[in-house]
Formats: sequence, C-alpha cells, structure tokens
Amino acid sequence: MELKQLLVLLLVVIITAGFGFWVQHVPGESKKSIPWPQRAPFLGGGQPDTHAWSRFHIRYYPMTLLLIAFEMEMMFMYPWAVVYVSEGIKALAEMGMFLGILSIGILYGWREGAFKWQ
Amino acid sequence: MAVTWLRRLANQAPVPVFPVVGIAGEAALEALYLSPAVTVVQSPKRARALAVMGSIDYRDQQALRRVHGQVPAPRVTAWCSAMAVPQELSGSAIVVDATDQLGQQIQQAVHSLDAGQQSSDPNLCPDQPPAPWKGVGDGHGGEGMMGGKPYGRPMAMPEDDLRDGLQLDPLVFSIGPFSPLLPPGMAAKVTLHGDVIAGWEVLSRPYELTLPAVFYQALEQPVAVADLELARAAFHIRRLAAALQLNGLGAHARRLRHHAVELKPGQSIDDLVNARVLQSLRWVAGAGKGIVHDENWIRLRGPAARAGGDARDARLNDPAYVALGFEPVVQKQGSCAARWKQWRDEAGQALTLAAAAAKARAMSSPSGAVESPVGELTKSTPPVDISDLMPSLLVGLEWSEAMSVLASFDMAAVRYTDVIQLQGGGE
Amino acid sequence: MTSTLLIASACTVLLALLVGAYCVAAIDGAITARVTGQTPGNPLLIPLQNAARLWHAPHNETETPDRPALRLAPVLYLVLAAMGLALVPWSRDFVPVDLTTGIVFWGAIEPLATVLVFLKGWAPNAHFPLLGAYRYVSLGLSYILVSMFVLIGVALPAESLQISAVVDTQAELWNVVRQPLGLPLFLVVGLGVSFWGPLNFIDADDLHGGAASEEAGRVQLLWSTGRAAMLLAFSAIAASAFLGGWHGPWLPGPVWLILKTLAVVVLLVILGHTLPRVSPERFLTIAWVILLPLSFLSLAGAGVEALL
Repeated sequence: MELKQLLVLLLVVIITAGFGFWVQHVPGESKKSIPWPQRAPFLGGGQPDTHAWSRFHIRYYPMTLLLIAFEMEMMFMYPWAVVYVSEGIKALAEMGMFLGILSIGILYGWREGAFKWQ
Repeated sequence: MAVTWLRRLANQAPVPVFPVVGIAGEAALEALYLSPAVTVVQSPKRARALAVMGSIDYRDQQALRRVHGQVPAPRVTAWCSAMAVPQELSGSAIVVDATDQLGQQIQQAVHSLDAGQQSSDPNLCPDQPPAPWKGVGDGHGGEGMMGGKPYGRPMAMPEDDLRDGLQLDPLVFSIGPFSPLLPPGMAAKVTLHGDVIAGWEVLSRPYELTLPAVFYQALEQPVAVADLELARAAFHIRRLAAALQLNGLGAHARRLRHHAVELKPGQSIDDLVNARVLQSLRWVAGAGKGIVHDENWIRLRGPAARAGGDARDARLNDPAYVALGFEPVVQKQGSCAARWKQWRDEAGQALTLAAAAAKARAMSSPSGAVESPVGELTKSTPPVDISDLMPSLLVGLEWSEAMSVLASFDMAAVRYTDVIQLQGGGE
Repeated sequence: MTSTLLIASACTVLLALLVGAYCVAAIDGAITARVTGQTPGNPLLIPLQNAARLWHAPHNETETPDRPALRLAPVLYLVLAAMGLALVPWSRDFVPVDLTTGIVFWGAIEPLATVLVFLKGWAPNAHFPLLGAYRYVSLGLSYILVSMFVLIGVALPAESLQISAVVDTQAELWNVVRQPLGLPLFLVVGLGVSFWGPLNFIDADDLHGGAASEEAGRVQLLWSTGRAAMLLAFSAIAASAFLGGWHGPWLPGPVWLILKTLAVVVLLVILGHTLPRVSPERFLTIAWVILLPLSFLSLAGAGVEALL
C-alpha cells in the first residue's frame, strides 16, 4: 500500500517538475543573448563595487546552532507522539521535563542576548 | 489562433512601468500610480516600459542610460519631460505631454510593440561585460579569489565588522539616483556588513522638490485657506502611502493615493486609512529609530521638527489661521514613527481646518512666510536639503529599518526661483 | 483498478494545485480591490490576464548567475507545494498520498522550502536578492520549530503521524477547539513558508522587490505560481490538521475540505494586507521568545487533553 502512495507522489513530482521546466523554457531564448547592461544588478542606476557573492555576515548565527539542538530533539518527539496515549502520564512527565529543560535553555539564551542580531 | 487569444488576454492586463523621476516629475508619477492601464514596479527588470518624468540633471544622464538598458528589450520609453529626447531614442520614444494620458499611451505603445507595428528602443549602453573574465576556467573559483578578479567584478576584501569585530566581506555599492527607495536624484554609496549599514556616503543630493503651486501663490497673494490645507493633506497622505508601500501594505498605499486626488474638506483621516493599520506600522517598523540628536536638530523643519516637540509653524503668524483656532500638533519622540504620526495628524488637522476655512471663506494673508508641507517657505530662504544628516542616522541600522527612516523624511530642498516665473501655469 | 486510482489520485492533486493557485491569486485580487476601493476589472479574469502577460514578457538574466540554481529553485518550490498538497485527505476513502509519516513529511517540506527560497535569492548573483535570501533564512530558522511543535500536538490524540488519522480524530470536535493556540501559531508558519504579507522577507518592497527584482517573464510567472500553490498547500494542511479536514454535515467531504481550505486562504490573505512587514531582527526575537514557548504550551495542553 505504501508503494502505491509513493508512486502517486513520484507521478506528482515528475509532472509538476516537467510543467515547471516547460514554463521556464522560452523558445528561441538561447539564440537571443541578453545584453550586458541589462544583466547588471539593479541598484537604482547605481553600480556595484564588488561581486554580490561574498562572505556575508549572518547575524543570526547563534540561532542556527540552537535550531540544530532543537531539531535533534524533534527526532525523539516523533516516536514519542505515536506512543504517547498508550504510555500515558509517564510520557507526559518525561516530555514535560525535557521541554522544561529546553525552556530554561531558551530563557538563558535570551538573557545572554542570543536572540538579537549580532 | 490560440496564440492570438492568449495575446488578447495578455493585453488586458496593466503594463508594468518603471518610473524615472526627475525635477518637477512628481505630479506625473502620481498620475502614473493612479492609471489603471499600468502598474508601477520597483525594478526595471520586471518592466516593459520606462517612463521618464521631469528633467534629469546632466550629472545623472549616464545613470538614466543604465536604467534604460535594464528594461528587457523589446521595450518602450515614454518621455514626459521638458528635456529633449536623446538622439538615439528620437525615433522610438513616445513623447507624452498630458500626464493623465501617460498610462494609457504607454499601454498602447507596448501593445503595438508586441504586435510588431513598432520597433523597440535601441540599447544606449555598449554591450560589453563590465569586467571580463580573468581567471582560469569558467567556474566561480579560479585563481586570485582574494581581491583579484577571478571573473567579472572584483571580490570584496574583508574588514572589521561594526558590531562584533568579526572580519567579513563588506558589500559595497552605489544606489540611486533613480531608486524608488530614495528621493529622486539622491545617490549614495552604501557599505553593508551583513544587512547592517556600515557606511552611507551621499554621492548626490536629491533633486529639488516642486511643491503644489498653491503654496508659491500664497507667498504673493491671498489664497483660500481651504485650498492650502487640502494641498497639505494630499501631500502628507502621499508620503504616508509611500511608507505603507515600503512596509508591504501596497493595497492601503494605493487606496491612499486614490483618495489624495479627491480630498474633501471635513473628511476624516480615519475614513481614508485604517487607524489600526497605521498604528501597527508605527509600532512594527518605526518605533525608536531615526532620532536626530545633537546640533543637527535645529536643521529639521516643518513636520519633522514638530514630530520632535518643536511647535514652530508659520501658520501661527497668519490671522486667518488664528481666527480658525489653529494650534500646531506636536509629537514628543522625534523618531521615524513620530514623523509618520505627525504626517497623519497634520493631514487630519488640515482636512478639519479646510472644512472650517471653507465655511468661513478664510483667505490667507501673505506675510513673507508660508508653512509648506515640508517646512517654512519664504522667498529668501526656501527649505534646504537635509540629506547630509542621513549618514549619522542610518549607520548601524538594519536595511529595512534604514529604509523606513529614509521614508520618514522630506529630504529634498524646495525648488523656488523658476517656479515663481512659471506661476499660474501649473496646477 | 489500482492503476486507475493511481492516475486519478495524481490528476486530482495536479488539478487542485493549478485551480487552487488560480483561486489564491483571485482571492488576493478581490481583497486588494476591497482594500483599495478600486475595481480594475473582472477579479476572476485578472489572474489569467496577468499570467498571459508574463507568458509573453521578455526574459531577463543576470551577470554570471548560478544557472542550475536559477532554473531549479522555482521548479522545486512548486514541486514542494505539490507534494504538500498530495498529503491532504479528501474524504475517508480518497487520500492521494496517505503516508504513515505524513506529518514528518510535511515537516521536511518546510525547511526544504527555506533552502529553495534561499537558493532563489542566491542564484542571480545580485545584491538585493542576496540580502533578501539571507534575511529569509533567519525567518525559516524561526518558524520551523513552532510548526513542528504545533503539528506534534495534533498527532498526540491520533496516536499516529498519518494525516488521515489526524483528520479522523476530529469527527466530533475539531482541533481548533481542543488546541486553541495551535491554529494561530500555525498561521504564522503559513505566512512564513509562502513569504506572504508581514513575513515577505525575500521579495520585499524595501529591496526593490528582492529576489523578484532580477527576474521577468515566465520565471516570474512560475515563481508566483509556486508561491500561491504553497499558500494553498499550507492552507489545505492547516484545514486538515485543525479544522476537521473533510468532516462536516450535509455536504460531501471534498466540498468541506475545499471550503475550509479557501477559508484559511482568505484569512491569510487578509492578514497579509493588514499587517506591516516585521523587521527581521524583531521577528527573530518574537519567534524564539514568544511563539516558541507558546507552542510548548500548546503542546503541553494538547498532551493533557489527550490523556483526559
């Protein structure tokens, strides 16, 4: 049964992707080259000094690390969610503790200013 | 058959136009915003037509050519300007004199261009790469990454960050003079560290602003206070519309622009724009940013000064206004949000004043100074440019905050001398 | 028989995607017209006219772009939306893709959407799209967790990660009543994943249109179709997770699903026209300090409720 589901998914993916590429394909586009002035990045008539791609300063960097910590935690949560009702109050207490610790972590991070643009 | 059907459907949609606004081009831009035949877009790359409105300073001709080249060909150039059409475009550009016809004529021109009845504009810039490939192979690596020219434009060199001292690449570019984010004619060299502004150098000042003619007339002769106040309300409402648009509320901005042309005395400002929308705009985008400190404070004028608690207002010296019980509204904080609030309150006050003045048939009495929407207008010293205050205000702000701060000022100087000669000719 | 069902399932999803994207554009046009007080034309035709115009508009390309990324990003974003929509149950018997891990799958679609939106801004090698792209990633980091906690909440009473099981638990009482915090928090995610209204960090007007400032013609058409499709897919998932999906009296299941989905779309579009865009830094703080603890609270509430 799961195989049928995946087949439908595959079919949907292939057709949608095909549609996407078809829409983007402009006949005769490859022959007509786009002039360089048009290609330049639009800066309201201004010009760039440097290339756009650079070592960009990601000011939310601490958040990326926090996200990884939480995403790991999500992996435990999926199976937990399935057995939650059958395990009953024990599961609630366990996850309650887990979330409690994480919440304290968030509070600590907030106090340290981790949620600010660095 | 199918193709022509699709083409007919496409021709019913408004045509995207990129506006290039020059000196005295403001009225044409407003007309363009209201035209159902076109949509004004933020980037020439998405446009089919370029609308040149007002005269472009000589120093900006090269930038105009660059922007022209960024509208994908086949394109249309519409010329609504006292300037002569450049020679290369003289065969293809459409010249429009009446601003209310601009939108429609652009749409027609684009349709006939698509139907093959008209040829596209030639490119004004030479088709050469800005900095040809000098590395090895054609990837993005190649030799000489550090400060060299692997291909195309040079790579950035690392420098100390403003906030945390990390060594990363600054993003340096010049923006303007035709960026919709800046007042027309203003150009700046921007250095970004991440999305925080680390440097803002004004390369050229904004073009002088042309106020509605009634303010110039009020210097010379008595004019109806109701007319003055309606013009003031419309001016502030258009500035508010720009702030709304910048912060993602384009539909509300459009609504305000439509209302601005048909204001009636006594209208309530809350009928024009939802008070809660404006309040959330102030709270979300403008609170606590862009406060002018120290000695520069004195250079602020009009609403910007009153937004910081300075109740200077030339209207207080006019007996007609005194008779109407006029008291200037002021805010305290002097921030970006306070200036937006000031525009809103002054527009609302102007509409109320206009109703009272229309009832009393009040006429202003010329006394050498008129309170224009951007500050006190006198014959000898019209309001001057304050764009040089921006670097101290913008450095250290995030990009989106900085753009909000820019949209809370009337930076341009006011155009004066030649407007007086033309007086009576304009609307 | 099975192959007929297979084809029928795929066709339903694709048709729903196309018609749904059109509906999103039409609803957006109608609400814009209501706000502005101007009716520029027949609101049902405007999306088609705009699409036709973009179809014929000339193409643009930037200086030395990352071509594969440029081509792939809009296509894959649309594919993600289609996969999301495929997960939605239309009735008790008709679920195009009824994965036992449906919620996990949707949970994978959201971060992948962040990756693709970033790629879209990165690919043209131009300044404003790049700024928009990096800004958007900060948004993506912030809403993913909220979304997952809220969705785990609806999986608890179902004892399953299957979306059809989640819908089944709502026969008597919808999750929006049982877990009142869930839907409002999830709507924030919807605005984020389709970068709509207050969370449009990448195609924003303060960047000349951001990633959209360097594209034209058919690429623009595809990108805006993908965005509308993502809003639709999100709304359908939200309707299934919180509004009882196909459950409802008198009318057949699929009709209820469509009505509920469109209701969520209307709500999101109205929110998009009412709230100004939040500054990225401020949203980051709001998301981590307010929304995330609220989603913990919602999950704890859902846990207690499931045991009662």
